[in-house]
Amino acid sequence: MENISEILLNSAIYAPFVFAIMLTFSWKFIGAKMSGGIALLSSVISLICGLGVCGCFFFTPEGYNSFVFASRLGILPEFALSALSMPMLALAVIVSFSATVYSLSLEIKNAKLYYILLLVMQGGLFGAFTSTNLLWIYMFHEFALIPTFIAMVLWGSVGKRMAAMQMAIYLTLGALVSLIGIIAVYASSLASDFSIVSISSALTTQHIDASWQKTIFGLLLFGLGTLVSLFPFYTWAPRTYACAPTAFAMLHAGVLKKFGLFVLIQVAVPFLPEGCFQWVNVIAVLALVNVIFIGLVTMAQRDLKLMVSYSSVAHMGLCFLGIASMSVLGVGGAVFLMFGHGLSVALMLMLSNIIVNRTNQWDMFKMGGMYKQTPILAGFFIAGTMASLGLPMFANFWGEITILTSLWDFSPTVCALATTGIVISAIYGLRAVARVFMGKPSKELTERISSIADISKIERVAAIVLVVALVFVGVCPKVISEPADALLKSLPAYNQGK
Amino acid sequence: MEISSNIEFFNWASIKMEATLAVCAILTLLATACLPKSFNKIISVFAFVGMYVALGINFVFPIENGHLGILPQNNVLGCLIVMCAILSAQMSFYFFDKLGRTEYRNEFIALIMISAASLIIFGRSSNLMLAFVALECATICLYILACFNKDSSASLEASTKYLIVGGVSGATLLLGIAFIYGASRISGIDFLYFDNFSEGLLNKFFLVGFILILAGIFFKIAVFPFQFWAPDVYQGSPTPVSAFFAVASKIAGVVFLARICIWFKFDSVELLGAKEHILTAISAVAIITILIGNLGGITQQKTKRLMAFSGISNAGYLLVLIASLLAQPKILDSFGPVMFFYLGAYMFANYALFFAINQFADADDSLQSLQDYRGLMRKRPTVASGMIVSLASLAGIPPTAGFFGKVLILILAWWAQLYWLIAVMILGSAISIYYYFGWIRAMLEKSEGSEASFEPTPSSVQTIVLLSIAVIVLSVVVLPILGV
Repeated sequence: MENISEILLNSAIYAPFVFAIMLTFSWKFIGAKMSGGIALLSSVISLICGLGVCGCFFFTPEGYNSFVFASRLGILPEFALSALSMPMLALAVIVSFSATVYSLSLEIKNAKLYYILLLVMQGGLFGAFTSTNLLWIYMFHEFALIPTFIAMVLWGSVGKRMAAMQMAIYLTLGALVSLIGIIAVYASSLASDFSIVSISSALTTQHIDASWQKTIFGLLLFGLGTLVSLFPFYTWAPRTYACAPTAFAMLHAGVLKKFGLFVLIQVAVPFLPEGCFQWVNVIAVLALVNVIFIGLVTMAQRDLKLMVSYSSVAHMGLCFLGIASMSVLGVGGAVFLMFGHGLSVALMLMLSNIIVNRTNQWDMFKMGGMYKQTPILAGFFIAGTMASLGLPMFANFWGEITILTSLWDFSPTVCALATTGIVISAIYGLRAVARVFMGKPSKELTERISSIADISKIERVAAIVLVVALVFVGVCPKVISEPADALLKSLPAYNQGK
Repeated sequence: MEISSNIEFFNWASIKMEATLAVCAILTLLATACLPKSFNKIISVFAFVGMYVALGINFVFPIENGHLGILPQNNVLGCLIVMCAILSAQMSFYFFDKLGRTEYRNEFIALIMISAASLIIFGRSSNLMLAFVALECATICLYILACFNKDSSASLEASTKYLIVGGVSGATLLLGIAFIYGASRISGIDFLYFDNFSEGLLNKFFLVGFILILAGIFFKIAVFPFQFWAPDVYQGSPTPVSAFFAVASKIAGVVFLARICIWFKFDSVELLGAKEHILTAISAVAIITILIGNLGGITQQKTKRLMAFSGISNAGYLLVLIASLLAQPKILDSFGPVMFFYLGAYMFANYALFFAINQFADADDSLQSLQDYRGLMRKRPTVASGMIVSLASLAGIPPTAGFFGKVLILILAWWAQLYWLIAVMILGSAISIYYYFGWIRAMLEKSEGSEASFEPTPSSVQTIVLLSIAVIVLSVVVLPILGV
């Protein structure tokens, strides 16, 4: 059994890199269609192997509270699956597949380079969630970041020059600050190397004192917070998602953004519990600003894609609130929400791009009445909106409900304020549905409305995968909650007090 | 010890690399003067063979203790600088083709070789007098090299500027040496060995002398407050020479600075707090240099000036490393490898970019700007990919060697508890993203038809690709050290 999961994990991670290298060196013989096919093949392999290894992990409960290592290939990094990285890997392979499929429906100039970058980004994402070494985690994160920059400059929409630069500077600065945090953890734990296992075993004997923990956790919090668009450092996110080519935006908003939270939950809080404890109030305040203030900003948006992008920033606040509660319930909820939000925001970005392309309008006020013309598209859009609102039957529901429950113990006020965020997201979500699909077509759209086609077959596949995953976890939350519960209960950081 | 016995015991093997370079350079010059023009190509080949032999001879004979103030270690320094010389010489082929004066090429290569030999001696010397003489020898060659493009006013301006700046810095260095000599109150043949200054450390004049020496070296490696010449000189000089300025002379200067910081055993003398003063000075200089280099780079559109500002900020990062050594002598064991790793990464990335800069059709490329690179990704994907890797390395993006160099420096600085320097270094790296990625962005954008024509020769494309591969492969070397 272990042998199989090792092979599956390694092949899921290396497939995109191998195919990317193949594409790079087949510069002349392979055309646009072929390279799309190769990218699809790679993402199918990753999807099957990735979900397979997640299944293997789920069915071996004895490994829930530790890492399940994969064999190491030469000097390449070591990969392992934990109860937290399992849902993240599943998220990554599903969104990657969907993004690749959606790309096939587009006409792309210089398609080969596009698919090479897309594959490198996917490989980076898979690696970032599964490597056991902090430096490699950092490096894989950059593997995923740089392709986004290049893709934005090459295939982005209006305003891409500044947006790409802004994203690169913000994210590199955030990554560098968290790198200092990582170095600080490594140096003060006196561990022999950067691997998570050796640092955590070094920390059992070497106690970092509380004031240092506070400083180091602050570095990690704001460094990683920038990557997750925590309140004062969120300005890069909306424009990036609105400008980047959709497949990259899906991967970035859906998966890469969860990386910061993942490292906080997996590394920062367990290693520096006292440090985290001193920051929880700050986290809670900033996260509330994310939820409420950015929620209000989202309500004011008229640009459909910008609205979806802002809403993804707003939702990240809830994940931070889950971490701030420092309880098994809250952090488990954050993991659920990361998974669910990753899928739903990818779905929404894809659908809104489809809508914007079909209508040639970016302004929601200039749409309307598309329901009759495009019922299936509307169905998916409504499902996506429902998911991001956190209605039952979708994975997000479990995330939001557990986070809010855990917040009651943390502070009833925070809990109440956080709940208003849900109301706000209901307002902008449902209003978007109404503006785009219901009512009468706007002046601008009246003439063209009959020529707007419904969602195509390829796009449908991409959307169905995401919706199915959302509903599957929504109906059967045990697949994530059981392993995560076992792991979180074994970490002392999450089991203080209540 | 008498002079005669000193010469008798002198171990020529310790300077085999420098000697090979110098002898081959002189032979090249003689042959160019005596033989007819048709032999030009053969002589160039001979010079190249000489440089490769110098590189190889390093590994052939074991090194023993040398005399005359030359230390046995640090042959990595020699390898790096000889590689710079080889790369600059190779770059000069296309440069002289553009210039249409191939007959001067051999003199150019010979001067590069002599200058490289002297720079190696400068970096390796443990005697201040020898260091001064070697440095002056290298600098005089560089004055001539900087104005090789005689028709370009920019080149002449660069040469004049470098002449003045070099003169001032040489004088400052010499004054510093005089002060240190006075402070040490010793005499005799060994009077300027680093070893002999332990007594002088007690003297206040020592500090004055040391600061003057620092100022002299700061001129050479272009750090604040002596960085102002670098953009002008890099911009005006012929590109192979700019590359040599940017890399070889910076490597030698940084190594020499590190040497004297190690060699003057500040820890042995607690009096006067000399070490604290010097640490404060170097830290302050590092902070300002990083900020000036990076902030200056933001507004630059001219590629060669951009490289100069990039070089200034990299010198700042290296000063952080040296400051860490002063603050925490325990890191001495890892200091040398980290420094050479960083310098190696810097060299490969810089030369890849200068090779690309050199490939534009106009011989006077002082006005070449980022706009000229638009559309390069579509026209020349191989070259553009190589350049992207090199720029990413300079910006410190993994998995390139530049990233690991920065990480290693940060780790050592953390151990030395220089938190302010770390913060500034992070800030500087984040600012530098703007101009490095601006360059990448220019290459990815659509061509607008107004770009200068770009005609890379096949050999230079290969070199760019090889250098960019080296940037990645070099990082593999460091992975096991970090236990990754």
